[in-house]
Amino acid sequence: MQPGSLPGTDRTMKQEWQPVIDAFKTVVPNVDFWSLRLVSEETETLRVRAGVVQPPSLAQSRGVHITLMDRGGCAYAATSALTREGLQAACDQALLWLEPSRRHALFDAQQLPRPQRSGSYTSTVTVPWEASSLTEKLELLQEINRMLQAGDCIVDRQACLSRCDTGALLLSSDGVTIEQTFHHIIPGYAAVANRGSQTQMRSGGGWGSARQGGLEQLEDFGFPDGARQVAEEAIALLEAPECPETRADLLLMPSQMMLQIHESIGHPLELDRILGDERNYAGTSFVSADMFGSYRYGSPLLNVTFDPGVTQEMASYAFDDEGTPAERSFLIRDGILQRPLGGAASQTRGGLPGVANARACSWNRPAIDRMANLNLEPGDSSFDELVGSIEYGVLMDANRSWSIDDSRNKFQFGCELGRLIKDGELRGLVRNPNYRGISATFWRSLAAVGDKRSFEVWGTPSCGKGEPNQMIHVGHASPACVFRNVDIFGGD
Amino acid sequence: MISLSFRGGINTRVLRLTIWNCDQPAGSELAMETYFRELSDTLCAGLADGEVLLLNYQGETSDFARLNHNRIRQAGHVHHQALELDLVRDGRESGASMPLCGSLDADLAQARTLLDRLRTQLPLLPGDPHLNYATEVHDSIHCGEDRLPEPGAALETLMEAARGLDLVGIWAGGEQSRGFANSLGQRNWHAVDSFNFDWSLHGEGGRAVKSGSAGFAWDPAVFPARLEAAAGELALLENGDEKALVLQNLTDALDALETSGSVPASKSAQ
Repeated sequence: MQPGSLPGTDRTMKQEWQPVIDAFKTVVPNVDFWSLRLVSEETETLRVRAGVVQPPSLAQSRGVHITLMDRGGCAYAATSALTREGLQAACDQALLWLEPSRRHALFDAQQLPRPQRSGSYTSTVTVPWEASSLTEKLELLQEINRMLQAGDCIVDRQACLSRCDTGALLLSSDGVTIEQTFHHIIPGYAAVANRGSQTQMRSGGGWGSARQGGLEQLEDFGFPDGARQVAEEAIALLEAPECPETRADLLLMPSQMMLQIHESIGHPLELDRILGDERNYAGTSFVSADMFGSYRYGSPLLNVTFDPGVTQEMASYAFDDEGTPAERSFLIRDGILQRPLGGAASQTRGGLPGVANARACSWNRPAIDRMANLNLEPGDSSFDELVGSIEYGVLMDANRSWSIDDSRNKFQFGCELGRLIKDGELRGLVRNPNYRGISATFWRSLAAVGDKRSFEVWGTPSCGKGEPNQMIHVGHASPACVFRNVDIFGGD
Repeated sequence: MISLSFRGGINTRVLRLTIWNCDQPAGSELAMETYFRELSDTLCAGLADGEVLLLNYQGETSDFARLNHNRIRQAGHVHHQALELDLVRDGRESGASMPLCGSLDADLAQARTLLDRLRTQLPLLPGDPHLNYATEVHDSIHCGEDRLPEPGAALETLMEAARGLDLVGIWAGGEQSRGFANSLGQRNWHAVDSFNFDWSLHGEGGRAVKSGSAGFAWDPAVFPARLEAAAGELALLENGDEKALVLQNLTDALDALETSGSVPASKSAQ
């Protein structure tokens, strides 16, 4: 597929949108600055549950988001009505908001930096979705369903496979043009086992996560090969002892590190939260602006980057949705807090450095500060060394539940599977493993970080935030990590 | 832009939502319910024998303003219309959804392209043992009355009432519409104008009082009264008098139960 070309067509994104762009330019009002973000998205989903093929779905979305700035005011309008009249109406509605936004502005829009550079980005796809027919994909999902039926106590099982292709074009009144094309693959399977009053679920194959790329990404997720093991673990967990209530060492696998990074590093470092924008809905942050540059967030082993350049990670891109070029930056280096997750607008408001993370979930929402790819950098311990360093502790894998306070500080998280570790060796399964901590101190107990061999790329397609609500995909990559002296508990 | 009068079966109103058809002579416009009906009739008329088509329409024309420190953080307008198509044949079902761009010819062409795609897909699917859809025909139409103020005017009154206070939240208001049609002849339409003001008042040390109001008609007197009550609660929190606050909330709730049978939506958080 050519860079910038739309799925299923030979036309480039710019060619596809040209009639809308031409129409917009005839109706856009005379303002200090305008930008036009044009987004087209197509999502196809296949699912087989309990051996039954669910109706396939194909969701298309297409619309434009208009930003007008004039004399310190800033207003938006988004529309799926892509006729000249529809674009005219959208511009009229945005103009109506310009005056109130100028008179009551939280900050002076004239001070905001504007996009300066044109460019493009396209996801790398080795094996495209079309390389496998619908019949072949459904047969693969059926095969996984059969593998998941590992015993009579499996009461529910399902496998799914989705693709999401997105084209985003950003134009500005200064002549900047940014074309970005994203291809995401969203696989997963899960089995639920039940015996008496005990029910356990295990998931795998990328369940709850996604990647940029094509069908070549499935193998890394263990899709379909890990299905049998997942079902057998669900059954084994039925008879496993409860996770002990104890204070011990904790070994988190990358599939749970994802959630740990997301909730207790990502959200607290969002600069718009720190500036108070989210206090009515998503919450605030225990991090304050004066902490950057000096606050010890974690042990010296903690190195966290904003990294938009990991090819297969979900939120890799060249520019954010306001046109800021994206570059790898350390948010936390050697345990010390360096910079927040703040886009150009938040950086200007807060007087802090930031990253290119102004993102919108679709054409119908304005960009706000979001996580993108937020990664914990690998250390130098092999997985065996991580286990060997633990005298008594619990390994936890695959997130099952999470709870964290408004300021993203006090938390308790649960996992699907636990495994005891004694005297440096992995022992038996434990069910319903949970742990609790406080973000401000939890990361200081980071005692060992896995090397590149345990480094895995995860993420979630459903990070929620913002008013009106925005659900967006974010990437988190991490090795397995050891934390000392953590409050651990089970389900009793 | 011209709004067309639409005589509904239940209520009479002027539809604010307007659709433009660039393939028709200038000035020719169709109200959205009529547009959806025409789209549905045309698509259903083109079905092959044995096919059943289910169509769902979703539309939104709304304004929003996000507030922080009683100032506008973001404000704008959203106009979004989309159509879902479910094609059923020989005990098999497949679905798709698409945006409506406002040109009837273009929207019909895109819907037909999707239907062709679903037709190609259906024979490749096994029969769906859970397939279930309504076969009795029940038509309905409801068009609510637009009793909302201009969005900017509503915001002015809110922010004036909260002058000097740390008000955070979102005001959103406008029209939401839903439509359903199927090839068995059923037609449903529902459109209402409503607002939702979800807000909180913030004080020292992370203390806050959460509140909100929503409805179909805007009463400018409601917010100042609620704001005054919230400010009183925030003062109690800031003075560390949580016991008095709990008592006050209990009293308010009991009063509301006695007078209206419902408890007001208000809670305090720290």
